[in-house]
Amino acid sequence: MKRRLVYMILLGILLYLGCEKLSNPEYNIDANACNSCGECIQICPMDAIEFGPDGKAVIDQTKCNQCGKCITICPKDAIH
Amino acid sequence: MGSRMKKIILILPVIFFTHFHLFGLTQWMQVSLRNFTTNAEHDIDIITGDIPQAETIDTASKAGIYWQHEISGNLYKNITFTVENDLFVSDLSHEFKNSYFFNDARFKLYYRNESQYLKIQYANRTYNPAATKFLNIPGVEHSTQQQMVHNTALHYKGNHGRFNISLYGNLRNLDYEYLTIEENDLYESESAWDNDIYSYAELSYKITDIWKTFISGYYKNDLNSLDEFDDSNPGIGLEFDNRFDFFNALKTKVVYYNNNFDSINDKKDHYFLTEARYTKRFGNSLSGFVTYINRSCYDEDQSQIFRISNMLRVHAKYSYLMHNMKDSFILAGVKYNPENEGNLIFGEVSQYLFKDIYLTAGAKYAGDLFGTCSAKCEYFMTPLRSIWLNNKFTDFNNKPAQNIISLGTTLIF
Repeated sequence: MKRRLVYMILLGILLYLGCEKLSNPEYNIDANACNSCGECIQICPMDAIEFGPDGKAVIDQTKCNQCGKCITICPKDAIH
Repeated sequence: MGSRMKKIILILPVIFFTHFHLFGLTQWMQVSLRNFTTNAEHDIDIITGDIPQAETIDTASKAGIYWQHEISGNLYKNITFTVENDLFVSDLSHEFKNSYFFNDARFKLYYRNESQYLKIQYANRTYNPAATKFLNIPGVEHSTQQQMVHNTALHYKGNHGRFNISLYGNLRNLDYEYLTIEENDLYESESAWDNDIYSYAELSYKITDIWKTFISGYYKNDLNSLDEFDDSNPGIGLEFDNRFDFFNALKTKVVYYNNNFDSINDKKDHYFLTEARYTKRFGNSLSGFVTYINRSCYDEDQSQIFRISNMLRVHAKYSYLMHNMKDSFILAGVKYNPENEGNLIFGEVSQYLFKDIYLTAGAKYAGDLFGTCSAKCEYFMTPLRSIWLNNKFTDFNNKPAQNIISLGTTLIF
């Protein structure tokens, strides 16, 4: 198990160091951290967030303008 | 509608409310009065684009109420239901929300047996137009004011031996009004609809108890004939999920998506998602987890891999006093997310004081975005009924600070 963890960390470091950053990144919601409170849905100025199949908030990437308001309002810091 | 049907519709709620006990109902309710203050002293532009009228947020305190209610029960052997309602009302210019008066209602019907799960849901969000701001929604030419949102969703999960299937569909309807400028610069209000279909399907195959592979497909269709906002992405992935023992668990997932959409960067056509979550317990008191999520894409034109975002989250919690109502604990964590300036450090303490009174205090600091601290004092009258006083102060980097004091009660019955 420890070996697998080390491989994962090494892979992450490689991806981080070896790849150029995309000029316009995107926001996503960590379903493990989301508590389905809906605060992000209310703050989004682009009407880009709704609840998905498991009741967790999901960002519609075709509508999101990456303003970042949802990040500051999320009580569980689930948006990244 | 026939008179017989009307009688049935009238009688059904009466039967329901007079036979509560037959449905094994459980209710959860939380009501809070909120007082909001901010140090803003001038007009604030919360929304991008045109705003019909600028508004001023002043330092005078504003009042609001937030009422959440949930009822759940059994209809039949394998059929359960949940009715949820959230009502938020406050003075205009209260808090940083797009609407200051809205009601969220959700009705969910579940069917479960050993190998199948079905959820049918209808959700409705109603806004009071007088307290709702105008937005610039992609694909809609004018500034729009949301009136009502309907979501009708169906979710099915089935287990057939080593195969699992998951199907989801959601028809979303937004009823909105928009303004057009008429003669003499007068605004004219028009009504319109925006319809989207979101659908998702996944078929997975369990290779062993801990390994599974899956194929999936996501499809979004903007029914207002705007192809540029359609989106589809078939995916294929591999998942490892192993609870080694009571103290250690590891879950990892690698997925490749082939994205097809016009409104998003072409570089993201070949998209890779890597997730890992390691959970560790040290005895009964100390536990924690490490989560890592990487999103990357491969650009065919440049033959190059790009980094979209990395998120590393480390979280630890120490519970040190068990009590009838809830545990006392200390937790601390760090979130590292450089691409979206989402680095964060946070901590929280919950301590039993005396006579069923708890004090919870927390703080978090995101250097690029905000810093916040909160304190909550809660008195449990019984294990299922409490009253509480909460204060939360947030200092944003790019907008005025805000403070919210809430006096509330939580009831389960």
